[in-house]
Amino acid sequence: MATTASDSIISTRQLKKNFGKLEVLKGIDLDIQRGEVVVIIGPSGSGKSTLLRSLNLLEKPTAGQVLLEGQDITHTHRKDLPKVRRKMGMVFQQFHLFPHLKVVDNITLTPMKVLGQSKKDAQENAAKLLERVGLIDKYDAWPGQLSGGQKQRVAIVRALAMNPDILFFDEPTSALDPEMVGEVLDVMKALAEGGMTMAVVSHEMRFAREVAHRVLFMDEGIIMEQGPPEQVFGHSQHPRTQDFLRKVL
Amino acid sequence: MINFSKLWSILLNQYPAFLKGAGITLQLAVITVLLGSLLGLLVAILRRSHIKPLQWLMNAYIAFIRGTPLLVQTLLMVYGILPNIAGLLNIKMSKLVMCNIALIINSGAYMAEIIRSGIQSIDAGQGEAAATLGLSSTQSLLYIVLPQAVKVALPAMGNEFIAIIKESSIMYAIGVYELTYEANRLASTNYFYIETMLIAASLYFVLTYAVSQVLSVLERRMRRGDNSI
Repeated sequence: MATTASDSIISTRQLKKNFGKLEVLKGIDLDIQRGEVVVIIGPSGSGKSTLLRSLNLLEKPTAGQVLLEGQDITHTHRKDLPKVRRKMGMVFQQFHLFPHLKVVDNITLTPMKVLGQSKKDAQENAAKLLERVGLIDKYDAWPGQLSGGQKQRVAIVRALAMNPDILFFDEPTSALDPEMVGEVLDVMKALAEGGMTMAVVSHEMRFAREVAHRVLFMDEGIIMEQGPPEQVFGHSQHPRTQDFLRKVL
Repeated sequence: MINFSKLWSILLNQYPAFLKGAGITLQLAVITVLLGSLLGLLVAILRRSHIKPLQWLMNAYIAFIRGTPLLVQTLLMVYGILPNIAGLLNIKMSKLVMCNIALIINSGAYMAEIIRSGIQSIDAGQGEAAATLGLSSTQSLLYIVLPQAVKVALPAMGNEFIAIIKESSIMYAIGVYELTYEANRLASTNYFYIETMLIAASLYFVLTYAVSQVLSVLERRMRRGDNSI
């Protein structure tokens, strides 16, 4: 299926990113459609996280373009960045909950300050979302009182409370104890089934296989191979992909 | 040798003068630490501004204050800059007020450094999370970074408070009737320098020790409210 930037939520054109002399992204062309779940896999250092972080401009691209709903946002002025970024939620490996705020305040702060929601509305929405991820009893808890899996679920709720058009997950389960991975993946799976557009950098191959519409295999700063999970996992074309999958599966 | 009966009689007869001096010292220090913290916070924020000249100005201010003696700064303010400003604004400024301003300006630079190190200790991920949620850099600083940074910086700010109590003794040279001035005035009439200064030293110690105790209670309180397990 040929896709254009205009019917994609987010796209990149020949996106490049260097850190000093190191070329991390070497010209990425990517289109993510509304409702699509894209899982990005690949060895560490292949540029997966940098790609995600370039999409919301946490990293400033060295060259190329990032397009949000067809609009070139690559050179967004610093003052306008918040307006662009709030459409793209992000869930981090290390959660990054705000430790000085209770769970509810972590979730309601930006809907109130950025979207101008009333405290009552923001709190009601927070309660609804917490209910959905099974953490309503942690409404008044401090982040420090939560387990890793609970923290990550709160972080997902915090991102959802901003009503983003797309959610990025940067290795959301890599910092979790094995027994907590499932609870986070379940929430992500439910989101995907609800039609949320998602780009997920992950090492969870089963999740990729079950939930992804499309799997991207990245290596050495380029997208080596992509396609539906059956194709990438079952009949990968590229020896680098086969080699990687042999190691992780 | 120390004449203890003399020390006792100086204390009994002259305690109002000592207390008055200690009161002025404490007043100077409290006002300095409060307004100095605010000034330091402002400078720390302005230093992160994207306007380069503002950054340079703040860096120059801090470099100047840290690189020159407090006494010289105070003399410059009290006999140079502040009388001119007071003249321009057509207001009267007492020596005490001028000395207090000099102390605030001095302390502001150190507070700015303390707050900066507090800000630097906050994980970059906090700012990134704030950014991806659509907070502006100012909002992120205000709601996310500073509350955490100030908490980290609080012990160092407490130490600065204690340092100010002691350093305010320099105002003796300007003729502000703070504790050192009062003690020296008494000693130069009774000639019992050791005894009189020991009383002054004890009062300074009581002040600084009391402050350090209050601060350690506060710190423990904050840690109890702390949310990490």
